[in-house]
Amino acid sequence: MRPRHARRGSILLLSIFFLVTLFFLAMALLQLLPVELNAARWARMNQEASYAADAGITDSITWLEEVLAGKQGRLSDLTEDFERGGSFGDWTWVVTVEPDQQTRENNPVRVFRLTSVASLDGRPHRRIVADVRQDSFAHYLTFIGASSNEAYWRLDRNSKLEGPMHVNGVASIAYDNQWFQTGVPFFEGTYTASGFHVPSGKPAGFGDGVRYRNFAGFDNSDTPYNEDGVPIPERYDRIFTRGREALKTGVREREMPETSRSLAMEAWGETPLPLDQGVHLDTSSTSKNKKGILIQGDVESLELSVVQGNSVMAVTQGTGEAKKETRVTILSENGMTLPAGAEVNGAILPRDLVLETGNTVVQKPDAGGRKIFAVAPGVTNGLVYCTGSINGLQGQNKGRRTIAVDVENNKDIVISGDLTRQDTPVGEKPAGTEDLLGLLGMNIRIGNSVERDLEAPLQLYCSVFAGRRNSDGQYEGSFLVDDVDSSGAGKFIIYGSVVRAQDSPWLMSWVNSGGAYIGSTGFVSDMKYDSAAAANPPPFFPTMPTLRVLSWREEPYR
Amino acid sequence: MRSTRPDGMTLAETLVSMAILAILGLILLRIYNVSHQAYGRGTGQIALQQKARFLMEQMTPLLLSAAPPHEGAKALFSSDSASIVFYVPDKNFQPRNPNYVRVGIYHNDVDKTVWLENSVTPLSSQDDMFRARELARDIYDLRLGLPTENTVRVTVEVHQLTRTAGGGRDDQEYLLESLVQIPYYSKN
Repeated sequence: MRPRHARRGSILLLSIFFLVTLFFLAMALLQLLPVELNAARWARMNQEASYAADAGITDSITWLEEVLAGKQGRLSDLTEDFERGGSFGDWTWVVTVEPDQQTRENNPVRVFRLTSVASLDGRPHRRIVADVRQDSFAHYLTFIGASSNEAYWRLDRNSKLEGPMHVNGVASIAYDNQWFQTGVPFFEGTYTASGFHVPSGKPAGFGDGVRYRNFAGFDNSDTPYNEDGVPIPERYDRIFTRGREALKTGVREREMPETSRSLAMEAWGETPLPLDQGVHLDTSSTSKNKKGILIQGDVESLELSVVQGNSVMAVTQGTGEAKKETRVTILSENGMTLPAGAEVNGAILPRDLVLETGNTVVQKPDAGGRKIFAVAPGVTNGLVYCTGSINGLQGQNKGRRTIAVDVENNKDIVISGDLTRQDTPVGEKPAGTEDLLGLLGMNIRIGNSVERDLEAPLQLYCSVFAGRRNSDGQYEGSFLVDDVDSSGAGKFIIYGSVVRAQDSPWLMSWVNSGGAYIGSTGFVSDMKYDSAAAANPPPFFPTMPTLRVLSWREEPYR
Repeated sequence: MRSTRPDGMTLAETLVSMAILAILGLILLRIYNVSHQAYGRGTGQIALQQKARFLMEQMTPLLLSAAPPHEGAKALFSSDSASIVFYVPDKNFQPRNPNYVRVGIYHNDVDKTVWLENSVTPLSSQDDMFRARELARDIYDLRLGLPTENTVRVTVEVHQLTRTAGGGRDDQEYLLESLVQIPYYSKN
């Protein structure tokens, strides 16, 4: 008989065979595991790094907005690059804030570049570079500081609102009873409102916050949401080009500034304003002038024109015997020769003086038969500030310009004719921002001297900012039509923003005692959105303490 | 006393042993095949994941850079589920005079490739010059949806044929879905 121990070899062999097989299986699994683990770890790390870098940008934007709102620090301190830091779990982030060059040049639209780097254990992993720009009121096609209960937008099949709209208060929209069957989208941009309307008998938060009306002005039960408040997308699509997402209610209020005094300082500087009536130009500076033009007193007419390629403003003050004319020429394309014997900046010219381009010349009313000039280097910062009202404004504008009056003292600007711009043929939409015009006053009025003709509309190439929010929180002033309830009907086309504190009517429809339509008075409006002006508004056009992200680049740190 | 029984195993023992060994062998072969197949599927799955993630990693930063081309505009546009169009800052981006170029990402269903197309000049019209480059290949399907104005839902579907234990072929697929929310451009 074979000894028992002789058979143990086969068991050994089998054991080895199994061991080797199991070893290979384990190796295969082990090979898979780290790849999976690494992939998961890497994905998680990338995600965390993104969140950390994102947190840095969000923190910096919030902080900058607080500064812009005057709640923290002073913006004037932000002249150099600086850093902010923080942590996010195990991660840390450092943001470098770089104010751009023009932020330092008193441009009210501040621009910053934010570079956020997220690190783990001191090792940088992720970087986000974002450019942010301060919001301007010129962003809106139309803005209403305080909506009254009676004002609402009527949806019209023949017109549309091309750009964003905002109302401080409840948004109110009216339409006919066939709108959800045959209507076409009226709002092409977003519609934001700080108020939130709840239909009677419904709980708080019901609906979308808009007050829907019929054409008679009563609440409309035919809403774009159903009886449970659930949106009906196809109905919203008939109101907004971008559907339900274009409507945002209950957003924060956008406050209009209380005063335009800061603009007086931008036009003249920190020294006290000259008290004598007339047009003033600071001639003390020898470097390129960064100030504007100051007009003391009421202006009867301000006519803009372009003469030999240069922008000219003819300012008339006083009437009758006291009438005085001043001519401001900004030598941007051609020089000018001032005659011998004229008084220039207080000195008599012994001989003709040839002025090159890049200067600003104010020809004041003659005194004692002598021509009087004020000359300053530079083409100004684009601001024309008047302490009184401007009772007639029209003409063709050249250059980036804002004409402002003293809002705090209820000064108005009256438009007396077309306001066109040199870089854009009349009737066409502006493409650039070279010859932008902004108007700022308590009331900006279309004067009663403007001809009302529906076939020959008033052309307004400008952005309008009318009114203010006073210290009591009340909104005053508007963009309005003189004699809106008489003198027939005309039409105006405006290419730019219309920002107004109150929503005064521009057009009134009249019915007889039987309810039949008998005619309209005032102006039919046609607002064209100028997106270029919205991104790069007229100089010193009011801004908001919010920042808008313009670009965002996220990348691994190398 | 000398045993009359011969040394070695009887036929019955041998047959039983061989049967056991054969069963064991078959089991092991089966285990091996299953393991091999699992390994193949595992590595195949990893390859598919890598392919899908690679595309996603290329697309995500691009989508994150999407911005409205002008005030009041949307940032993202989608005409069908296989393509998306958006604008990104121009190379020489000036915040005070922002310029954007148009970018399109689309999936070619015929050759299963994903392409990136961008306009050469800022804010160009449809007729302008475009530069195209391939982002990824062997992408069975790419679906791009816009659940909100500022969010893109990206679904990448990749396929791969692997050999089965029985010698057949198995169509492996991997689906990667991701939501990319572009940064806000205006707050309310």
